[in-house]
Amino acid sequence: MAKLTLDDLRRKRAEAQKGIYLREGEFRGKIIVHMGTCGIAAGARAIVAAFLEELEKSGINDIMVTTSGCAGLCSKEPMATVEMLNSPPVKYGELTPEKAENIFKEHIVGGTAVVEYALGMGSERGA
Amino acid sequence: MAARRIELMLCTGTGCVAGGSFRIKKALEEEIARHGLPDEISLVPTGCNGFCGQGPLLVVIPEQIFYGWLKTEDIPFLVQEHFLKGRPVKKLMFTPPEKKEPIPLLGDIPFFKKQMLLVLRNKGLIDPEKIADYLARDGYTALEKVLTSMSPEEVIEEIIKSGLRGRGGAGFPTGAKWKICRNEPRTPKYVICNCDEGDPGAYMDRSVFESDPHSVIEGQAIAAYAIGASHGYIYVRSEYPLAIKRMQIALDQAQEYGLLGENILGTSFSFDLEIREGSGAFVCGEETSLIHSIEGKSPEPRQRPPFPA
Repeated sequence: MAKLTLDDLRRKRAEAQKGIYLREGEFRGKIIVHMGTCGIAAGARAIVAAFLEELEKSGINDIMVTTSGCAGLCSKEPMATVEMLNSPPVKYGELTPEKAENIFKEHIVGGTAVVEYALGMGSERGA
Repeated sequence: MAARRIELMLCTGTGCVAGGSFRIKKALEEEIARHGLPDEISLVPTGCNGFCGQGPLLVVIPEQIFYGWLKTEDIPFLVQEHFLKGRPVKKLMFTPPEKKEPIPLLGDIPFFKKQMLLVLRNKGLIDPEKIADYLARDGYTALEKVLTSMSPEEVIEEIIKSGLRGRGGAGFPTGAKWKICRNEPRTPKYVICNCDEGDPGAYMDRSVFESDPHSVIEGQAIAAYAIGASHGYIYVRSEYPLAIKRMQIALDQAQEYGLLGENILGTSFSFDLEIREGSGAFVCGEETSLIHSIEGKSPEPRQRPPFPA
C-alpha cells in the first residue's frame, strides 16, 4: 500500500470510527426486538436483520438494536419496543421487515411513532 | 463494516490467555456461527481488561455487561440465552464474595468504579492487532498535530508544561529529558523504549503493549521528532511473547501506512523503529546495560556520567 497522506489518514480514521460506535456508549434510543421462542418462531430474526440494515443505510450511530426475552403477548409476535430518550417506550406487534423499515424511518429518523402498528405506549410496569 | 447489534470484547491479555481465553474465543465463534449470528455480532479480542482475577472474561457492548470465569462449556448457553434471546445470564456475572446478587454492569463493579484511565484509556475497547481500531479512538492525531503545526521546541515546551514524568519509578520529568537530548549537538540520536520490566509482578508495560501497542509507537515518534532522532528501538524482554507479537504487528501496520519510515505523512520527518528482544537479564532494565544489550554487548552497567538522557 502507498504511504498515507494527511488526508488519507483522516479519511481512514473517519471510516474506522463508524466501525466502533457501539463501544462509545452514547445512545439516543434503542430498538428492542423480543426474541423469546415465540418471537423467533414468528420471524423475529428477520426483524432484527431489517432494523440493522436500516441502521446501516441511515448511517445513524446513536441508536442501538438489541434483543430481549418474550414480552408476554406471544400472539402478537414478532414484537419490538422502541425506546427513545425522554419519551415513553412504544411497543409494536405483528411486525414484518417492511413494517420494521417504516418504523425506522418514521419513528427513529422522523421522531413520530407509527400508531398503525403500535400495541401500546408507556411501560407495562407502570411509571 | 455493517451495523452490528453486539460487540463481544473478549480479554486476550496474557492472564486471560493463560486461563483459556483463546479456547473461549473458538467456542464463541462456533456458537455464533451455529446460530447464524455473524452478521449481528462481532467478536473483538482485546488487551488486558485489568480484572485478571475474573479471567477469562468478556464485556458485552453496548450494555457493558461483564462476564467472568468463563468456561468453554458455558458458551453454548451464553450465546443462546443472551446473544440470541436477549436474556443476560446471571450466573456468569460477577458476584462480590460477600454478596448474593451479581453486578451485571462493568461500570458498577467496585474494581472499575473509581478508575480513571489515562495510559490505558483504550484497554478493552480496541483490538490491539488492528490499526483501524486505534485510529478510530483518535489514534495518531497527536503525531499529526505535532508534525503539521508544531516545532520540536514547541513540543518540548508543551511536554514540560504538561508535567509528564517517567513511569519507571524515579519520575524523571519527560520534558527535561527531551530538552537535554534536543540540546545535545552530537548525532545520531536514538529513542529507546524500555519494556524490560524486570521487577517481579509488574505488568504495566506488558499491559500497554498487549492492549494498545500503537500508542507506544505514536509516543516514540513524537519523542523522536522533538529530540531530532530518526531511529528508535523498542527493548522488550523475550518472556513477553504476546507483547512482542502484537508490537511487531503494530510496527508492520504503521510502516505500511507510512506512519513510520521516510517522510511521514508527507513531511520531512523520517523515523524507523525496531524491536530488540532482551534475553532475560534483570540488569537490562538499567539504562546503560540496556544500551549495551541493544549494541550486542554484554549487558554490564557502566559508570555515569555521561548520562544517557
